[in-house]
Amino acid sequence: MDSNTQRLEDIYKALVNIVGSENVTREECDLICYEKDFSLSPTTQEFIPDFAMHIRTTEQASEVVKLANRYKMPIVPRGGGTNQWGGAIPVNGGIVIDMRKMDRILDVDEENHTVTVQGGVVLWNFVKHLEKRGFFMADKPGSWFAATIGARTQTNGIGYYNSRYGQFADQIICLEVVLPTGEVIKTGPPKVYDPGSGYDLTRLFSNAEGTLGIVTEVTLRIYPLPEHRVVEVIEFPTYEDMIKAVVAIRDSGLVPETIETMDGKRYSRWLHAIYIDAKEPYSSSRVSVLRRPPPEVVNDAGVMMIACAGLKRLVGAQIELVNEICQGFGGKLAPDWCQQALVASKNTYPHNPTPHDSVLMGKPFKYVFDATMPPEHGTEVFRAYLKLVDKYRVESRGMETVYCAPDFHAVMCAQIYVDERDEAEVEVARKFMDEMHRFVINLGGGVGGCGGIGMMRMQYVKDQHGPALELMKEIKRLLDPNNIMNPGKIFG
Amino acid sequence: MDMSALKKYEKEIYLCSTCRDGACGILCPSFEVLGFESNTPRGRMRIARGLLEGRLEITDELVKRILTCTGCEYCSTRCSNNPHGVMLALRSCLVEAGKAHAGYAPVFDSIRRNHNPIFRPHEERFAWLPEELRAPRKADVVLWAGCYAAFQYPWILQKVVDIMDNAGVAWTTLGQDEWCCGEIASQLGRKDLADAYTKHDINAINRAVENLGVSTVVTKCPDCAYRLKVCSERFGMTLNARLLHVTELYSELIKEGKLKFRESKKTYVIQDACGLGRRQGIYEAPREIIRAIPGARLVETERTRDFERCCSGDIRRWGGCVGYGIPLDKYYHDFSERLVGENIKSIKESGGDTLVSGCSGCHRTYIKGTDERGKREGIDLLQFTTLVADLMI
Repeated sequence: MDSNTQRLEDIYKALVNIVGSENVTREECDLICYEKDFSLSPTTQEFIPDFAMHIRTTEQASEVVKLANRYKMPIVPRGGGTNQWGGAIPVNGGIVIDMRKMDRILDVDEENHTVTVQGGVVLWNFVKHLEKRGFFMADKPGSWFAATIGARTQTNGIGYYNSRYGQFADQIICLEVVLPTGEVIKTGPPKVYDPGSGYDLTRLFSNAEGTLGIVTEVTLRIYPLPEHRVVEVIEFPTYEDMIKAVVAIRDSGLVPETIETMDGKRYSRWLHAIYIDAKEPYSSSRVSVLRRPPPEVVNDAGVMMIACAGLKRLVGAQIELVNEICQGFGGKLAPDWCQQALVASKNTYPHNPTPHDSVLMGKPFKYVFDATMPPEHGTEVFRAYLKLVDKYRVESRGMETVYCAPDFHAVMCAQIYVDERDEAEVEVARKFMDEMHRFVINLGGGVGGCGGIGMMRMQYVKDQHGPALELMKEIKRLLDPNNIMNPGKIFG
Repeated sequence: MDMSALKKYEKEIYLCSTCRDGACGILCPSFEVLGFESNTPRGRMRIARGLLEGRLEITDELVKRILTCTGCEYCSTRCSNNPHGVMLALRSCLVEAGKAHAGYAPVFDSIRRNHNPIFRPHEERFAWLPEELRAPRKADVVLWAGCYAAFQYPWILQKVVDIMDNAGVAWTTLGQDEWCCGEIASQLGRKDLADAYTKHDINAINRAVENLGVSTVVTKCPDCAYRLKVCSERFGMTLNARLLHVTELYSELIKEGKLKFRESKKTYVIQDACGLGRRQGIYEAPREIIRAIPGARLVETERTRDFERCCSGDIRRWGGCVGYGIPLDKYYHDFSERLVGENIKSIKESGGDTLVSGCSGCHRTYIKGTDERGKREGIDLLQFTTLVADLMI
């Protein structure tokens, strides 16, 4: 047995000692499933970890981290594996910790409107649990059937309700983190968002993409379910008109719960996918409102989905004003059946029709762009995006944007369909991605906002942060002297 | 290694992008119990990709990842990329590579020889009926016995007959023309054998429609109904009769006023069998039966209808062919028991005291045998046919 084999054998035995043989694996058929996530990555790239494991307690996490330090072995904490930028990929091998067995909801404080959960709780289970207690969490992303809360604290993201309550990161009150050297800390007081004194460690450890430790417990804000909630889909003749309406709504003082916009292409693709879903034999028990082929919508059109919630009287008044503002920019309510289809697909998971869309196109789609921008720049970014689609002749899935409190910033995303077996296609997608991100940086926007930097967008971090990047690296070195926590991400 | 079965699904395998919906994974029963990505549908897609690309060998551990798929098709209700089809192709690869469970080959052999997977002579399929009723005769309804019920618990078929007689339904059997529907061969990875049997059965039903004036086929087993219904479309064949599961028949009889019940004060929970619910969308018929019982209460578990957690009954088939007298490997047995444990927990939380299933497979899994009734951790276990027969007036 050579020294490396002996080393791996020793680590395996030590891991088994910590979590039991049932919770650790080194079988190739298990490991191969952890080599990728939802990011764009050519089939030829292989990132097989050395071990995969489940943990159930903070103590186990701490022991594993200490062990990994002894052997200088990388650790990649992993949630649902739905990251778009390679954040969950074990670039340097090592131990992948599948967090999904750390899935206990520890405390729902109905008085203070907070909830504390273990890091591996999947959003869907969590949301269902809260609903039964009369609460909801202000985050409902497309990945809510898979994403874990711990991972969500590390990458941030967009979803429902962001327009009123902010993004996921804004919901975090306190984290329990196993530091890269094995110590366990709480990042702030457990009941209030404002730490009161000292550095705001909660913000430091949020969005760290697993590079500063393992999030084992999360305390979040929750909100009582509203008395009334109305969702509307409004179609605009052009994308520009829609952006003007969004800005006007922001400036009107209205506080809608959700504003999500999309271009005509995205709207059309979405309706097509729901249509396909409705034709599935399994649909009998699901929402199958769309039983006729949807219309083609011009790419330049804009579509807004807007939700208001609260007391019934208040919601009625808000929606009336929203409609008035939108009409001023040529907006009109989408046909009933399109409204129902879209709203149902968003509300009654699992109707987010990603797989249907991919099946329809014969290719999976991949994220090639996401960035934060002031909403006024929306049209500019959209035009740049249309030009690039034309230039690279890619099959695009359109653009969607979520507007988030407190400053109503826009988080814009775009995806294209890519066959990862075709290296030329992957290369084109990367060029597209590069031009799009550089355009946004030049406009003063921020790369990220939905899924972090991962291993695919490290080249933009320097442009974004300048000398502050060195400080970030210093912090990383201080906390993780052996560079074991999710190496190869954010900074390389 | 022969990967031709998998090659046919290449498109699906590469379409799976570990997508952000990830909806197939988290409620997959094998992931719930065993954990690890390899026990999710999208993980199995990765395994399939690994096999296709020659990066994986079929090891004992890999076989377990494939066989612990309970075949519940929860994933197929969430993803139109046919994850279940890829699973069946993976099983076919195991059979081709000679790595399938040792119990499979005798089962395939029994299907060929006896037209059933249970090693029993074909002639005995209707031995539970008085001799004069065994042969086909002119009637409106064909009772499709199904291999398991016919050979392992014929008492349930006797009750179906009693209920139909009570409601004045004219019924017959297909006699020796009824063969295995093919579903078990398909699930174990022998699509060729399965398809041949299904085609035979569809033709047999169509002959009965022509010769006996049959308009409806009623099956006790949800999987027989699913197989005959779905495959006739897949093969481009037309099934000239209506195909009903017994729960649908009972529900129709209730609506027609031909089936009435005595009072019951129990609180019922329904196990939405995979073959009934997810595969055929039959959720309402079983509920209508409970609702027609005076005094009965119906409660739902947290995971109900298309979210129903599989009972894992089929694991006991492909994990070791227990239905055929071949012992179940401990690994699969423990897995199945843990899943049943989870289900019992959900049922208790729902407040139900009686679990009713439309599938004998589910029933058998809960009571660990072929008895008509059973009890597990204080929960009474029944099948719909037993319930209806008990309470009908």
